[in-house]
Order: sequence, then C-alpha cells, then structure tokens
Amino acid sequence: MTISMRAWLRNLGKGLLVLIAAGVAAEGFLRLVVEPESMLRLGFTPGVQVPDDAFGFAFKGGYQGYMRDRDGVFGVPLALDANGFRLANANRRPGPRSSVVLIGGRSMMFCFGLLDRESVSGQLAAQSGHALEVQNAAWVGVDLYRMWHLFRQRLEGDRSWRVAVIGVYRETPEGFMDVPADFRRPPKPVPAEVFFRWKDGNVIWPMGVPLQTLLGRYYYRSFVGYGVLSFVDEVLGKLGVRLVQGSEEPEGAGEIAADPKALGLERYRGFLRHMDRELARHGTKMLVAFLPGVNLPPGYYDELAAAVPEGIPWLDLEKELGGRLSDYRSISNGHYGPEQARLIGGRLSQEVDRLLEGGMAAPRPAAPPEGAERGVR
Amino acid sequence: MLFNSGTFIVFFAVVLTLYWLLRDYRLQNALLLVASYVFYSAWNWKFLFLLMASTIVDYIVGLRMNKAATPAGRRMYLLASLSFNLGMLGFFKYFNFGIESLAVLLQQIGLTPHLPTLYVILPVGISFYTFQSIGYTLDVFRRKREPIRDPLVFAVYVAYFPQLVAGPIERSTTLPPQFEKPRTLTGEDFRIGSEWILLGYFKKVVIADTLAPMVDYVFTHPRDTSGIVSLVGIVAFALQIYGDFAGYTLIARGISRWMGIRLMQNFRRPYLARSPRDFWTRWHISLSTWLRDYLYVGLGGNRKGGTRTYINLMVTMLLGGLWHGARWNFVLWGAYHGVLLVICHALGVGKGETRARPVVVLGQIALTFLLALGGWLLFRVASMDQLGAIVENIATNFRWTPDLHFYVRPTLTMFALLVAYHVWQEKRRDEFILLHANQWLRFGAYAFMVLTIVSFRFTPVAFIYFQF
Repeated sequence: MTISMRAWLRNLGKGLLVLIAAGVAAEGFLRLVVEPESMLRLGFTPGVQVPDDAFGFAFKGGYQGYMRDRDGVFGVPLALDANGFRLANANRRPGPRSSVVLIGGRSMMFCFGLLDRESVSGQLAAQSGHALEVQNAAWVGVDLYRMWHLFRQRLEGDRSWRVAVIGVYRETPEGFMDVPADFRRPPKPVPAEVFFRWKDGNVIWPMGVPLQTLLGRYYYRSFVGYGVLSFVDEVLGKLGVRLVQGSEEPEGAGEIAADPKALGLERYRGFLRHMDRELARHGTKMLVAFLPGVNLPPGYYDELAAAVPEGIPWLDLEKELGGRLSDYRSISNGHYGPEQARLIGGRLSQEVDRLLEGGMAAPRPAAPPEGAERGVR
Repeated sequence: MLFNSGTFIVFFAVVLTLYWLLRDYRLQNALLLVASYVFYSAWNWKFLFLLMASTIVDYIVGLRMNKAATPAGRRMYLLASLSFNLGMLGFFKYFNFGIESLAVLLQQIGLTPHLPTLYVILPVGISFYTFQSIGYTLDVFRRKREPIRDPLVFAVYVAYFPQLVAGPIERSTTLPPQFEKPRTLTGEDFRIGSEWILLGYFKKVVIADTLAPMVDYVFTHPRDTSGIVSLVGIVAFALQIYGDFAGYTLIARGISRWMGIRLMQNFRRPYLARSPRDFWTRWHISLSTWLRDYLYVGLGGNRKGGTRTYINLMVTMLLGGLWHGARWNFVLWGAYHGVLLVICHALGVGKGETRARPVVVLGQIALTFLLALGGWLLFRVASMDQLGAIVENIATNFRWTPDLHFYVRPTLTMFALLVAYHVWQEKRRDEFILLHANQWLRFGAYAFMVLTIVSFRFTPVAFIYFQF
C-alpha cells in the first residue's frame, strides 16, 4: 500500500468519523429545538389516539395535550371529551339552549390547529342569535361514513339534537363506492399496517410515501434519519416510484359497475337520505355543508351538491366563500386559520338559526351544469 | 420565487450555467436582466412595469441631470426623480394607511366618513429598489459619480435579482462598476459563496422557520399564554427576524459571489452590539448607512448643534420606521430607536469600540439586547391592542406554566448557538472564521448544517422582509 493510499484511507476514516459526529450533533440539536409531533408530522402530543376494533383507531376520551405542526401551529392546547370529541362550545345567549352537532368534514371541521373558541363550532356558537351548544363530531383523517357511525354509537342518545350539520370535505362520488350498500352496517375497520401505523400513541399515515411505507416504524427512529429519508421520499414521490402497493379494496369493488361514479353518486344520495331519515326520527334537522378548501378547483362539489335529495337543505360553502378564504391566512398546509373559521362559522350560524326558527336553509343556488345529474338513478 | 424553494434552485442553476457559458460580460449583463425580470415576474408580472418605469425614469434623469447647465436645472431633474419614486412608493405603500388614519381621526371628532379604500397590493421589493434608484440620482446630483450611460448596466443595477426584493440596498458607486467590466470566479470566491449560501439557508430554514410557528402563536394569542411565554416569544422573534433577514442576505451575497459580483455586508453580529448606536452599525447596514448618507447628512447631520442633531436623528429614525411599512407600530419602532439614539448622543455613548472590562462589556451587550427586544415587540405586533395585551400579560401574568419548556428550549438553544458563533467571529475579528478553521472542524460544521437543513426542509416560508 502506497503512502498516498494510506493517507487517503486515513482521511476517509476521519471524514466518516466527522460525519458521524455531525450526525449525532444534528440529532441532539433537532431534539432540543423541535418536538417529535412537529418534526415527525404527528400533529398531536403523544397518546391522542387508541386502537379501536370497530374503526381501527379512535381519538382517546379525556385526552389533554397539544396540537403542533411546522406550519403555523405551535402548542395549541387540545382537550377531548369522554367520547374523544372536541369539547362542545356554548354561547351565553339567554333562553333554552339548543344542541347542534357537526358530523364529518375531517380535519377541516375538526379545525386542526385552532383553539375551541376559534374553531368553526366555536364560531358557529358565538355568532348564532340563539342560545346554542355546538358539539364537534369530526375527527382528523376520518371520513363521513365512519363519523356518522361514531356519532350514532357515542352521541346520538346523549342529547336532544336540534340540528346536525353534515360536513363534506374533499369527498368524491367515487369515494362513496367504499360505503356499504346497507348504511346501517358499520364501516370496515381501517387496518393498521396497511393504512396507518402507530407512533407513541399517535396514528401516522404513510400511504403513498415509498420509503415510509417500506420501513414502517423504523422510519421514525431518528430525527435526522426521518429528515433525510423524507427528502429521498419526496424525490421518489416526484419520480412516481411506489415501493409498496396498498392492497385494500373498496367495499363496492366486487360489484360490477360500468360507471363507478354513477354508483358512487347513488350510494351517496342513499346515504344522505338514510342520515336525514334517522335524524328526523329523533327530531333533528339536517343541513349538508360542503366545506371550502384552499385551491379546490372551481365547481368542485357541483356533482355532489346536485345529487343532494330534494328536501335536504345544503350549502356549497366552497362556492360561497372559497374565493374569500384566500384573503386570510390558512395554517398547517391549508387548514382553516382563525379568520377563515370565523367566516365559515358565521355563514353556518345563519343557516342553523334559520333551521332553528323553523325555516329551510338558504334557497338552492342556480342549477348545476348540464349533465351533472346524469349519473343519478 | 423564494430562495428556499425548489423552483429557485432550478432557476438559479440554469442562470448560473448560462452565465459562465457566456464569456462576454455584456451578454452576461443581458442574461442577468432577463433572469431578474423573470424572477420578479414569477411573483406578479404586472408590477414588472413599475420596475421598468423606475429604471427608465432614473436612467434618463441621470443623463439629463449631468447635461443640465445650471444648478437649478440639476435640482429640477432631482425633484422629478424623487417625485416619481417617492410618489410610487407613497401610493403603493401608504395610500390606505393615510386614508384609514384619516377615517379614524374623523371618527374621533364625531364624523362618520365614507372614504374610498383601495386595497392596493404592495409590489414586492418596492422599498428596496426605489431607495437604490433614488440613491443613484442623489449620487449623480452630488457629483459623487458620473451618470451610467449603458442602459443595460443601469437596468441590471436596479433589477439585479439576488438583491432585488430584500436588499442589500446597493450603492451606485459599488455595484454598477462591477457590471461594467468582465467578472471572474476564483476558487476563493466559490468557497466563500458556498459557505455564505449554506449559512444563509441554515439561518433561514433552521433558525427562522423553526421559531416562526412559536412566534406566531405567542403574538396572536397573548391572552392564552403566560407572561414568561410572551417574553420568550419576543426573544424568539429577535432570533427569527435575524435568521430570516441575515439568512436572505447571505444567500444573496453567496449566489452573487458565484457570479463574480460582490454585494455589501448587511449584518455584523447585531446582538453583540454594546449600545443602540453600535446596534445600528451592525443591523441592516445597507439601510442604516443609506439613511445616514442621504437623509441624516442631508438634514444637516450633527453639524448644526445639539438640538438640531437630535431632531435630525428622530426624523431619520421615524422615516426609517415608516420605510418598513404603513403601520403605526413601525412609526413607534422608529421613534423608539430615535429616542434611544438621542439618549446615546446626549450621554456620549459611543459606537462600542472603547476598551472595557469583560463584565462591563457583557452588561452593555445585555442591556442593548434588552433594548432591542423592546423595539422588536413594537415591530412585530399587528395592532396596538395586541401590543397592550402582550405588555399587560408580561406585567401581570408572569407565571410558570407546564408548557413553558416548549418555548424556552428551542429559543435558548438557537440563542446559544448563534451567540457562540458570533462571539467566536468577534473575538477573532474574522468574518470568515469557519472558512479559516481546521478542515475537519469545517467539514463537520458543514455536515451539521446540511443535515439540519435537509431535516427541517418543509414548506418554504416567505422571507419577512419581502413585505417591505
């Protein structure tokens, strides 16, 4: 071995040692300055979710912790009630108090990153002209069908609900293919290790992220490792590389459907009718609210709005408020900021007040584009 | 197009490759101009016309002023340039502020005004490029330089993309001459540029962007946190704004250096300042020296006696505050620093060059930092109501809470890291301390920075100073 070769190897060894030392220093530094839930994008301090036989996971009743995210959410306190829902918001208007429940709408209706009083349910209560108590029954990452069944299991008999607002966010006709034909049937549990993983009592969704799906919980061992792997994942994702394919089939996949959108729309219509009927049995009025989002394409909910059965009041908040939302700051990758939630809560409160006063909600807007009804049988 | 976005990295890679492929510096200038206009258009192409208008007006004014036979003629051209630039700045930046302030005033005397409010969009970087342009016409007026005859050179000087939207505000005597001759790239330039870019990204991505959510929460929820948290939030903002702005400047200087162009230093370890006077020789140097040379000196500086000096200082700092934006908190921030500078002058407190015992120096630095924090509180608040709530929270709600460590740990860690690096630089009096360090230490520091930047790399956050 020549001297220069030996020197080269010695330098390589030194370089590797320095690299390891830098990695250790970076790991220590990161752990000092960022909380795990923010670094690893868990969203909540540990222990917010628990395994659930029926639903795969559920939010933990009595949880007290914080919401945290790298994009504008820092240590927002969160308390969940015994059922695992966000605490109800009540106003101080005089008179007998009416109960309103917000079902579905995923993290947007849950209002990730907002205090209770800033959330849509808090703002609905604050801006209503009636004495109201508003219960939030939306969970992050959980679709409308599952939330409906959770509502029935945990809340339906709890109070006398006057109005139920059904939050629809980023649902598509095809998505309702996943809903069973018999709406009384609970949804299939979301299988862990296919759709999500556990990390210190928090659920994480690795789907569609190649290395994260492949490495599972090992992905989250080190902050630096997570950061570097996420970077590689982003590159792989942009290149369209999928190392592991999801294998879960939707409920309706076995049925022969020439037009999955038509079948999805039919399921959706039926599901809305079912909810309306079930709620009406308990004297609860239903209002469907299509929730706005940042950068949703124009007319995003047209087909779903057109398919709402006659007699069920609905509001396309995306159409009404979508343009105005961009005037205000959103947080955590497009979730509602306080001003946006105030706007949505205010608009919902008008319709809820109208329903409480015995009227219907706002008249339907102009007819949807021609052909939008075609798929509805 | 943010420096911390993938789009910019691709854009700059293309520009840099083409730049060095073109051997002729005039062609390089043409490329820089096109790249700068593309860079600016990526934000809003309509406002490119403002940038072009400012370029054309000041180019012509410079030439005509030089040809004017009489001082009155020169003054007329100067006034034309000032009216155009300040008029443009005033309209886009201060129109609504004026209307809204008038409305509040009229309401207070019992009137109900219905004044038109135009929701004017503020063109990015307008304060920077108009000041740079005004600086040029003032230099020609004062005969500090000849007018620039090559329109391409002048256009690149006004629109040069690395410093177009957030400075440094370059002088007509230093930047344009670099566009008038061939540029070279030495190994030293490349190394310095690389280190600045890396340090810049570290300051922006790791320091500023990590503290940003905390600062946002503390300032928007003063009644939901304890007074200690509010105080920590102000310290965090001091670090955030430094990391954000100094980070931007370092990236701008680094990418310029890779193109063989040198931009001025804009920050020199400001939190080691020993007095408010010293602070202003270290913080946003390109603006503070611009205000000193073109405004303070123009008003008479310290040549007309004590009282006049104090008035000049106050006027300069008030306008410096207002330069940041049309909000009362910026005016207050300027006034606050004006008062601090007046006190320094009155007490004969110098620029921090005098020798003193270490404990005294430490005390001076700590006091200056505390005074700077007072300024940052005024600077960051969104309203007077928010200011009142934070002050009240600090004064009346100073208590320990279980979530305090969320705020204290990152703030103290960042603070310690930054101070350690700056003390090292200050002690050795070496701006390139890392570049001159042992190669393994340097390699380790670079690896540390790369690993933390990659790990922190989330959604790009806009630079704070883009709004000015």
